Amino acid sequence: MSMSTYLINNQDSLDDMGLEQGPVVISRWVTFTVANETYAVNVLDVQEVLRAADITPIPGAHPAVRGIINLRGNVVTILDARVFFALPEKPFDDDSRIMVAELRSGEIAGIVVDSVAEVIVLDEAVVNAAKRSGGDEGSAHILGVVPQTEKGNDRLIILVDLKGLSELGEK
Amino acid sequence: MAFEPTNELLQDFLIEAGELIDALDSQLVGLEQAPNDKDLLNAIFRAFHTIKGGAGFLEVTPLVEVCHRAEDIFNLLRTGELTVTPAIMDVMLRVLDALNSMFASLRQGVLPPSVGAPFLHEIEVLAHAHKTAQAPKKTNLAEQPTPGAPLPQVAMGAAPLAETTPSATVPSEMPVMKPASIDAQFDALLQALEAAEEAQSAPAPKPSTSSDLITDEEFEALLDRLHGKGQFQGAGRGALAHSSDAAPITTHGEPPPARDESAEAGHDLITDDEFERVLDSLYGKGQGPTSAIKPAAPAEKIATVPNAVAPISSKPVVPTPAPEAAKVETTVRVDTERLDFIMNLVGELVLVRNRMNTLKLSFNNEEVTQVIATLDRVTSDLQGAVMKTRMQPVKKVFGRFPRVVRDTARLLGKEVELVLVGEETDLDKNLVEALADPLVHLVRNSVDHGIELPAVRLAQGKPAQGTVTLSAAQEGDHIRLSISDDGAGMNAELLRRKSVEKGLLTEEAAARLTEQECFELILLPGFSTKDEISDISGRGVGMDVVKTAITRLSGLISIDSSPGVGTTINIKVPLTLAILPTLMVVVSERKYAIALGIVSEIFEMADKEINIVDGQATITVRDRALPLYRLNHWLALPGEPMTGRGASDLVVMVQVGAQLIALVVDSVIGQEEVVIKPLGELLHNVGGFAGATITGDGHIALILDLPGLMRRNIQPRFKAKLKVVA
Repeated sequence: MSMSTYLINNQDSLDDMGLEQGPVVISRWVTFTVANETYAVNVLDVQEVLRAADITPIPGAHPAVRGIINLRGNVVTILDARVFFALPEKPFDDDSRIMVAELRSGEIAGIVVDSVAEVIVLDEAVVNAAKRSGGDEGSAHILGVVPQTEKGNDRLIILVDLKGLSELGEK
Repeated sequence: MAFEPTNELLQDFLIEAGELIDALDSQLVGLEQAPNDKDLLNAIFRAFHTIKGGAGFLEVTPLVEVCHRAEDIFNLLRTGELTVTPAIMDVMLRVLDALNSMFASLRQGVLPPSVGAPFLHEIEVLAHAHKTAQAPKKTNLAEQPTPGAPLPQVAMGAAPLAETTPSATVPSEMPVMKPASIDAQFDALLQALEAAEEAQSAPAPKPSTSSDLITDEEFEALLDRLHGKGQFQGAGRGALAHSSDAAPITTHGEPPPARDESAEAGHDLITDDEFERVLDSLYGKGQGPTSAIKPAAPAEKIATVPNAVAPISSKPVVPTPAPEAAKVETTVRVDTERLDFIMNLVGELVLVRNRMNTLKLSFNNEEVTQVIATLDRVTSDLQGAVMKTRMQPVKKVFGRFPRVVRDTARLLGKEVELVLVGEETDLDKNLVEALADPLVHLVRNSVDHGIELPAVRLAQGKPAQGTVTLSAAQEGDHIRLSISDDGAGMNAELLRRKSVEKGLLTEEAAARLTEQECFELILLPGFSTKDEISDISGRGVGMDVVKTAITRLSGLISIDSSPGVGTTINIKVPLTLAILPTLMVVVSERKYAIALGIVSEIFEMADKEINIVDGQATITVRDRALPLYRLNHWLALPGEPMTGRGASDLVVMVQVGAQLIALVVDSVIGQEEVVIKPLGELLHNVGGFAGATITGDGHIALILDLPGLMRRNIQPRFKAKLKVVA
């Protein structure tokens, strides 16, 4: 995590975030949606975000495997977030994106999401608290849940461990 | 002593000495067949010497002590004092095995353990045991009371090699010397030696082998000779060449000034290895051991030297080949990873070229077409050139076979000659490595089950010595390897019967097999077990493993045999694995690539007769019924309708292992050279695909692994499938 944290001393930016004074460690997360639910992954885990590409299906592969794509000459496996979160399949549309990440195994893989929204900044303390509370039940790739307030609406953001998706193979 | 695996010196040593060891394998076996080959003896001697030198430098004592002794034996062999016997060769091959295992541990950065004193002693014994017979008039030094012999384990900082000196030959009863005094002494000796070297034309004595330590006194005695103080005109390397405890001494000449050294014996010890290093420095400067070795001292006198170092031979010694004049370096060592990287880049370039070729049609511009044509040509040349850099002569694999054949034959009491043909044939490096194990298996099988015992052979009017021929040849873009023996051959009838007994085939099906197909039964998994009938026994143990390995290399394997005459196994593999010629087909509107090597025929389904036999569709091609499978069934996605287009479909006939199968595809695009891209780990449990490739139009096509695909789809009906084949 040391690579993904920033030490903020600038008073203004802290005020902007409505956080307490003093040095605060923050991290940046990319939010994406799958079936109207907002998820976030650490920005440093994401290698790139692709528009829907030409995915070649693999007959006989795990249901979560959408297929493979040609990413600048490399063959990259594409997984479907909907299958991961046990949601019904949905065909590609204009909002669909592939988030490419390096898995813990070192393999590069992509995951299809309904849309990619924005980059948010989270206080590392909040993230850690979420990690402690969540993740005990359910899938290993969900780190925890953090509350966010946006345009007056409260919402929950599910933090996802993209690197942990490599555990798929053992399922 | 910790070894940094990253240590560059160690790495260089491992590579260079590793090559020497590889070569030794076949050289040693070659020597057994040509015991008087001086060049070979010299080469082996040099190899051991070089390995020892490097090991000494890196302070790998266990390696040094073994090489040192082996070197001594070969020195005697090349001087003609010993002759090559199977006993010696057996020990030497074990030495080689020991070296190999030491290298294995060195590669892991672990200091290998010593082979142990008994083995070392065994090597030493070779030298004198043999000589005892040759030269009865020797002084048995072994019987000498060796008051100085119980040498302390000298553990001194300046002599790192001393640490693991085997204690069996060096009882550690004596007090340990003070390192400092030894260092000082040693330095003095070194200077003395250098002086001596100037005075003489570098007579370079070689130290004792049996004891790793020599005493100061012994050293002085040597110096005396070097100086010519005694009547030594030049105690050559050979003169001091070997084992002390019982080494016969066949020297004559004037005695050296004999002193009663035993009084001081045990003091001032230096290790053999240090001595060796001194010698090396001498060698470097002087000419190494001189060829003109004058008769040396009478044995008796030398023998009074405690723990006598210097059994002396009077024979002129073949000089150690002076270090070869540095040749002009024309080669560069390149990490294979770098080569692989270049290969990948070229692969990309090939793909771009393929795309350009596809695109040029849409340009319809003369100039563009020309430029693309040039690009096409240059890329092809580049591809060829890069591929060449990865080529290695098949010799690299073949090199280990003399040993395999020898060991197997000796174990079984058979006489087998191995003939190697086409060793210089070049093969992709990965292939060379991948082929090694299957070939070893096949060669061993040939010796084990092919070649008969000498008595049996003679009874059949064959020469007692069987012949196994291993040949390699390039045939177009393939390499053909064949292993043939002039042994018993295989009995098709027995195989046929066996297949029925094993329940693999029905009786009728078995009866319909051609002879060739019978032989290929041995490639089936589960065909062979230990309770096989004797003349086919073992043929097939692990043969399916061989077949799997060959298939993985997109290779083909075929067997031909005739009872009493012999068996030939042919293996055909592509020249390289990186770029694969494929047949592009379309199934359910998706492109798939089939390795061209296994495609034997393409035809329209409409022309042929299709029957359903035992629930399995079969197609009759030239009176031969082949199982017919629809690829769109095998490659269907969940929820996709599995309908063929019927009569307009094409059938691709492919060879999968020993059998031909017919596959229905929607259409055939044509031949395309593709670069295999491995599928990610997430897809590793998906059988049936050898990888993916990027096609000329930038899309991805999966490369079919037909054996895997068949396993995935028709494994439960294995028996049924076989029935159909028949």
